[in-house]
Amino acid sequence: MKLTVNNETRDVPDAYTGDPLLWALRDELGLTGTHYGCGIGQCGSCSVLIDGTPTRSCQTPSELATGTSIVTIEGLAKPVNNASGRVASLQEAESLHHLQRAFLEFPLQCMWCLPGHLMSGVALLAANPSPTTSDIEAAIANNLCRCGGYNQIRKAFARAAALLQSSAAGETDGAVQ
Amino acid sequence: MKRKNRDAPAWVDGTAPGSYLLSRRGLLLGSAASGSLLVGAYFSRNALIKTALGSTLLAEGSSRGSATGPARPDLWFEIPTSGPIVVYSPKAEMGQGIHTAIAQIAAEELDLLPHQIVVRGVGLSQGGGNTTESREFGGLLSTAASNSVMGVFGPLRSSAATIREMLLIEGANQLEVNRGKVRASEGKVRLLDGAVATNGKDSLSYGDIVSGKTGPLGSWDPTDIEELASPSLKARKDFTIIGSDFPRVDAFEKVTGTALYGYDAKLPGMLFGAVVHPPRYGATLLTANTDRAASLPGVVKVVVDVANSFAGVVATTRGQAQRAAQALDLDLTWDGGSTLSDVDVQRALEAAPGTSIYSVGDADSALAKSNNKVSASYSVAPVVHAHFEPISALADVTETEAHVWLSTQQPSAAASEVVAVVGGSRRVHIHPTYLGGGFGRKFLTHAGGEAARLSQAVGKPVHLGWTREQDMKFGPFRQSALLKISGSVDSKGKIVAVDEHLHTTTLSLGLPSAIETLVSPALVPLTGAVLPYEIPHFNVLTHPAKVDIPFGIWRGVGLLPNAFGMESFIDELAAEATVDPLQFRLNNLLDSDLGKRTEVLLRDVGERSQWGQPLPEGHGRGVATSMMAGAVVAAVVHVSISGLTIKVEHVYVAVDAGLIINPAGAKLQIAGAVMMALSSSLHERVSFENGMAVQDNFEAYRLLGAPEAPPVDISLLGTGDTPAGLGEPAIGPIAPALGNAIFAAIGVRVRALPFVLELPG
Repeated sequence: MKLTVNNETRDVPDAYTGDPLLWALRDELGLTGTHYGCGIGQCGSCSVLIDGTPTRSCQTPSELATGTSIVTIEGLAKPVNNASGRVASLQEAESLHHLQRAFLEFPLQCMWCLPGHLMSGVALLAANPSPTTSDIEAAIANNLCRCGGYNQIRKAFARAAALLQSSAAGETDGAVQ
Repeated sequence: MKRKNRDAPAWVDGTAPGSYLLSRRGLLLGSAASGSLLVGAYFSRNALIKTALGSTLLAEGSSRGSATGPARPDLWFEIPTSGPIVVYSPKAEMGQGIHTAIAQIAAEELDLLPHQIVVRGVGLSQGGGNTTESREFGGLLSTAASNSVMGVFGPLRSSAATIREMLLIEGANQLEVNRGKVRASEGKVRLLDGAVATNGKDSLSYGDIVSGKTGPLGSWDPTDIEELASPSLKARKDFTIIGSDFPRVDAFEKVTGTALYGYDAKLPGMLFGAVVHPPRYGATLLTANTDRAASLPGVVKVVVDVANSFAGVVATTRGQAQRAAQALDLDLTWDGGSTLSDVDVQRALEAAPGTSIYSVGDADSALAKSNNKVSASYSVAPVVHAHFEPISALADVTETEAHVWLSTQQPSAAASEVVAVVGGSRRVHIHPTYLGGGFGRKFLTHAGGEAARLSQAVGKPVHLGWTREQDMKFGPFRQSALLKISGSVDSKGKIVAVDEHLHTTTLSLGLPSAIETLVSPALVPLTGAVLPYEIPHFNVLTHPAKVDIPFGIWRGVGLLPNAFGMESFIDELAAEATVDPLQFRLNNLLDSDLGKRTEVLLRDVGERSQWGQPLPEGHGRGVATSMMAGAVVAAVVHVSISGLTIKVEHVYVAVDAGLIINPAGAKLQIAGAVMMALSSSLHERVSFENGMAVQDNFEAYRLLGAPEAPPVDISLLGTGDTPAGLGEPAIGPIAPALGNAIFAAIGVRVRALPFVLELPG
């Protein structure tokens, strides 16, 4: 089967038919930024965007994702070539999605669950660039964080919305906006 | 030592530990292609830093570090010719921010900007048939007991300051001025104002200095290095980086999805494993029929070792492996194992005989004489850690070596587990990764041994990731505990006597059995049990119960049950004395350092929570305090009760953890501990049936979610010039403060965790 992930169409063996999209992304395509947490759709760590909608990839059979546009955590930013894996400059941070930048400022702890929060927030901001507090509460309600970073997640969402509003109109920032 | 190390795969950072662990000559001579300078130090033994630096910079064959210390340094600095300095950390990053704290402490003494330093985990190699080298590199590596910042603070500063001095000496030499004419700043050696270098330069970056030195040692004389090993350290008043909100060093990798956790480890040509665990704790494998599993699509090999009760499969994809393991599970028979259910654990707790561990005054007769006596029992349910990254490992076992990547709090234990399975003549290399949470669970019993067994069986790299169900049911669990406390107060509201019986299941620590028998029963009673109150007559008895269910260390170990029991009971004494619970605590504080520190914190949370001000019907505030790892914590929880629903409205916490390295990180640790304690208090419970946990995933085992997460206001009120621990301490006061708040709100005292309100009657 063919999956289109982060704007690239890639081959996935038919052995993944019936298996979670999560395993195809991680084990076959090497996109391990999307995480396995529970396998039953409870925690949200496995979330990806499918045609813009946050989706539990652990609950999505791989073949059902063919013909869709999948975005993973690796596809949220413009590519950064940085051997140190660190954000060394504002120029590098500029390539990130607003919400990724906001999480640099308000990081979680272990961050295993972060892909889920990113997908919820990216979808929220795409649909609603000026979310209210209750819009944010609704968007963060369904993803768990064992390290207890919920107040940090609230702050990051609010900061991302502020960054989005302050960025010049018409400028794209990150691959999915 | 001459053994050639395998290059790290391209998708692992080329500087990842493991690529030169054993290449001592390479370290000394900087002969790696990069030309980096590498300096090793012993974090665990401050006194050995001098020896380590001296011997590292000397030619191979000269005297090594002290025979009493780890044979090799366990903290490394790499100063490349360009790009950031790398610190190889003996402490695992599991979300607690230790790599950031380490970067900060090193950057302070090395005068670096945030982007000029990165931190990686240090690797560990063990075994290989030569017993004299059984712990050649890394010593005993562990990340536990809220000890990381406390443990690394001194050694890291000393070694970083020594390297700064080395760079100043060589930098001055290259600038052709005296050492007295230069200073370090922002990753460079710079001329002092007014000084002039004969070669016209006014500064050199550390990388320039490393690339510009002549010969491996530049102008460093090994004798000088030894003298340098007691460098002058910056005074607290001169800190500009320690105490600042230095950015998280691991955040960029984690927000872009490029960070490597154990579940993410991969190698070219890797296969996938799955294992079957016993249906009852301690059951042994009796028979196995592998035909059905072996016939399933994609299965490469079914691996069964009845003598070692091991059953697993290797397949081309993870889904194939897991389906084959499910099939194999149907065709195994098991013998023996635990038969226990909850009621049996409770019975064992009740029946466990007591041993006095603390006694002052005569509590028995004081209680017998008292007219203001209270007795109560508090129970604490077992829980799981629920770290979000389940247990996993990638193993690549060849004829001579075994490489294992995994997220671990204790690489030395992970190495021993692998050595036990595929050791012999093989040398075992542990490549630690980031941890997606640990909370004590990743201290012992990893999947490295299982993955190594599977890799050995197929001769290829195998990744084994446990399912959440396996992870949740395997344990070890937080202990089941029961505290029975009696006490009395006098007419002035002073505590007279307390008689405390702590019934707890004992913990498995993976120690040799003779030591474990001694240590295990003491662990719960001795963590988080220190009280800040004056209690003239005080008995503490511990009743350890050893049962056939795996209990182990969980964040804070004894802190949560101890604080829950005692700080709930203090509230009951306050009620008996008809004194406000906060005032009652202040009235009974010890006249000691601990008492004074606690008083500051109690007054702070009281003030910020508007303690004593009226609240709406059904609302209440509760207060509690605790101490662990040198850190004192006080908390006020504001709760509202509607029907049988408990809603935590707001939490106020004050913490004295000494010198704070990173206030933003410290607050994350504290808020995270508060949320974990609230989750324990409101939802979490594992029950056992016929020798196995019942709950297996987050549907049956509920965790605190965002809608229930209250605001947490934190004050850092540290005193002193050295840091205390922060990973666990804030777990302590939350459950009792919540229980006390429920009592204040509706007059009902709930004495069991998790709290469940019941209809009256």
